Amino acid sequence: MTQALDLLGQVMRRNGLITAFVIVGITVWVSYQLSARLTRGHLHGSAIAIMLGLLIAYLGGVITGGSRGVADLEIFTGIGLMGGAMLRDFAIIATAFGVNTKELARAGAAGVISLFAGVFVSFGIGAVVAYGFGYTDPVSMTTIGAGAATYIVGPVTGAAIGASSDVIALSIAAGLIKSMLVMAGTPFVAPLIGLNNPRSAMIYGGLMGTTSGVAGGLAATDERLVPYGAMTATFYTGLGCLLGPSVIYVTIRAIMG
Amino acid sequence: MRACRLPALTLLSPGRQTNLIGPTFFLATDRIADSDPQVLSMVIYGVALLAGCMLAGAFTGELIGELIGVDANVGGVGISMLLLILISARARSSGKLAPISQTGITFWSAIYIPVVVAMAASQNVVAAVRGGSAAVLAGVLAVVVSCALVPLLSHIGGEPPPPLTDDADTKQAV
Repeated sequence: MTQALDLLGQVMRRNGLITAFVIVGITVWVSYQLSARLTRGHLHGSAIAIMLGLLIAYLGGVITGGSRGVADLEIFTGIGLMGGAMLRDFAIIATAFGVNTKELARAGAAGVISLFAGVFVSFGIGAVVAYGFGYTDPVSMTTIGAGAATYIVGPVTGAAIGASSDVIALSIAAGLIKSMLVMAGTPFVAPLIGLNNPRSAMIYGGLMGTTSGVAGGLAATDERLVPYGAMTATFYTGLGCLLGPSVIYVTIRAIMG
Repeated sequence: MRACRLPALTLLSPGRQTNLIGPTFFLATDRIADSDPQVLSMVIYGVALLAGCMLAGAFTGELIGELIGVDANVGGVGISMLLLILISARARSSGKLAPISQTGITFWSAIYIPVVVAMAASQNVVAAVRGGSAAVLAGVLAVVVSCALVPLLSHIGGEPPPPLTDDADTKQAV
């Protein structure tokens, strides 16, 4: 029996990506069943699937102590490949096939404004929270503010302006919280903020900026909105990395004396 | 229960192209089964177009990052998306992108949610939870305030457009 299990484990390890297809397929099926039976479709099946995914990631992290969720378990490494940046970006780009180009152009200005607003607001909030928790030097305030932008802007900015590693870790954690909250919470706030058309999706993407969060959150809300939100969100991290160590750091330093 | 019987190969219905993405597939097994393998292989044209757009966008994004001195890819995915939109609109209207080739793109668009689920399952949730109250507060407040700005900014460029309608074929069959 144990020999058979060993063999099965070996097969799963050797065919990581294929194993991921099976596991994710089962997860999606279970989620859609739960959505239809328990919530009568009120809570989108994709939203449940993403929350299940986060839960599995938490369990994986607790078991292995690693940083890649369930993908740190050897038999599930394929999930890391399937959900990694390469395939994720590939699938996101594919969603752009057939988008409404007129609406895209009309929302262009709002999208650009939302990008800048999103970066400055997130940095500002992060910096104020950092100050409230006793991180009163401009470097730490900027770095934690950068983390409140996205978990990539955090470490990039922190490294550029010489933040300590615990502050950088904190900024990554802030960005992760944001990303997960957006992933799981978007379907719930969508009706309150009018997130039901291409333009508001582009604005949402620009304000939130976390590509994984926006991509997951919009998928759980209405997958037709995904390309619009992803389009602006993808510029956010770059903009944050550009403004963080320069304009925003200088501004915060000037304010703090 | 249509989704349960979806065959591996689906075809985008050529007659009713929606301008919005969604699982607008249409069962066409018979037609595809009859096709000759050389026609079937044309699915790779769509995949190759998609992949080419991604590489070009990623390269441009890296280039922009390099030029402005930022250690990040600036808008690579967005540029790829724009490229795909432009090229595919042109190819489709001139009939150069055969329906079978289009499935090479629509398949990846449809597999998007499962990919996102896999992405969620490989996040560092433990680190996020253990980040402490400063991290949680910074993350939560950034989301809440940004959310509140969405209705304000939606009015830029005229009244917000109407919500997407739920027509039957864009609803996901469960």
